[in-house]
Amino acid sequence: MFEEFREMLTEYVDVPAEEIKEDSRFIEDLGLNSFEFMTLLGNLEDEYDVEVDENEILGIKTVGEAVAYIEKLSK
Amino acid sequence: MGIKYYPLAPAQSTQHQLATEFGTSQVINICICSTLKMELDFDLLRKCIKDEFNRYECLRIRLSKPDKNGNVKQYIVARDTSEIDFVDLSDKTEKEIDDTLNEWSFVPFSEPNKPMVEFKMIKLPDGYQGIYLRIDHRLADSSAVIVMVNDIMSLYCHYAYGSEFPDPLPSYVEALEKDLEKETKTKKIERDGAFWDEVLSLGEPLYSDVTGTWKLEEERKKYNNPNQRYVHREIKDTRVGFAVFDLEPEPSYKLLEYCLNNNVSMTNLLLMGLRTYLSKANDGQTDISIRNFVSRRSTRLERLSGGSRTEWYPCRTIIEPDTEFLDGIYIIQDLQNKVYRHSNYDQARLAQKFKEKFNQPDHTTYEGMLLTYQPLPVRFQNPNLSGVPYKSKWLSNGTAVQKLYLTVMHTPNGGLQFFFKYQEAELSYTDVQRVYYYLMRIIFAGVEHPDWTVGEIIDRV
Repeated sequence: MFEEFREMLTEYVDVPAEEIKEDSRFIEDLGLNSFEFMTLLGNLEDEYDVEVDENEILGIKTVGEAVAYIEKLSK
Repeated sequence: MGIKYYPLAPAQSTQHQLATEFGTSQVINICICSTLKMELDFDLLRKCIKDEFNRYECLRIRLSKPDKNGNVKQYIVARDTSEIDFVDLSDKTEKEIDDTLNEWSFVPFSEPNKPMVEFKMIKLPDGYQGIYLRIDHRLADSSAVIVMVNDIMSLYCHYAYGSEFPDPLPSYVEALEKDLEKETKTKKIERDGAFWDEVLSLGEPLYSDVTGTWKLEEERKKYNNPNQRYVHREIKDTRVGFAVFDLEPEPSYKLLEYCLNNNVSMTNLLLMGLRTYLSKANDGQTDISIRNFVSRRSTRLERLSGGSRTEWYPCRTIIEPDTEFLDGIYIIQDLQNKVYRHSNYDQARLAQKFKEKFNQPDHTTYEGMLLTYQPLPVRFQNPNLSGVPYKSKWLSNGTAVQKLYLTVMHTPNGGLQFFFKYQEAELSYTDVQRVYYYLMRIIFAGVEHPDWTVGEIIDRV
């Protein structure tokens, strides 16, 4: 899922896919602003047909955390 | 191949509704004059503008004739053969130039199936030369205009100086189709709707006016309803006034630094400053609503494909006076993040929810003002233009459809500009000057005294 997610992320950021790591931080390392971050998470919901908890997602800082969270919801 | 017709996307519909409500599309003209202090080759510039029509699909949008319900469809023409005039204003006075630009900017695009964008190449005094643009807001918003102006100058630099040819701009139609597809995702619409239901479950918002409580009190008397919480918008008299205030680079930097150090955005700092002002002006009212613009551009496709993607959503906060200023910003930030996630929600649907829940009549509002923070400056990024002085001025379309609309932009010298557009039928220059004065006092009090509460700030400024 990390690979898929990374591919999706490249639509949002000007960082090549290979430079996106699990510990990349959305805001500090990838340069997403809060609008972009929230839209990305909203699109993840559509993509993986899950429903995220708004208060929980606000605590997500890294790519790895987002992947783990979506995987948990998908189970 | 036949022409493919599309409905308007939600953000376009919002603009279309405004034009319908006010009876003229003049109210949704966007106009800019962008010039550089350099000698331009106008034949070459004309070629670049014509090339831009091919590169930037949204410039070729046409709207069909409205049907019996006033709805229109959009389609893209394969090419545009509009002429690009050259106008020399270099021997004119500032007033004569303003009058000329106003005259151009007030003209609505009223005919269906015709171009809704007009370029002129202009020469101004003191060696400034460049572009004047008038475009219908259903085709582009300010971010789209900035991308386009930059792209035209990148083309110019390629032909004039041999710099790299700019990358193609992504397709407007592709972005539009994705937007329209989202409109078919029932689950998503339900989720977005549930969020707004939750917001509305807090109860009916309460109007707060920049000039105090008298406005709501007057309306309550007029409509013989002591519990009324909204006021009627002025929709007949759209005479416009402007008040422009520049904040110097040093204090502007201080605000940006504060945002950076505290992980808050400039938008949320401004919203906190404005809602605190409204609270002060309305006898300490804690329930304050402001309408905030959201530029729905998150992917590369959305950022660069043009079109109109701006939506307005209410930012309603109930902040008690014992809340520290920074904590107030965090409350707003938390709400705004949720609004962003649900910002595909159609304005018409949201308006319908307010109507059903609170019996809110047409042409009324709970928000005394609107805010846009524009983080993107019109800045020519090509190295061949670095160091060349430039001027970019957003021009009025001659109307104001909102009581008070504040746009905050970055200036070329690193400062911030506070650009207030107001309805003269509702407000005076002095009223707006007061808003700016207190806004600055409040924001800097909050930034410089992190331990002060909202109540203390209201009392001390």
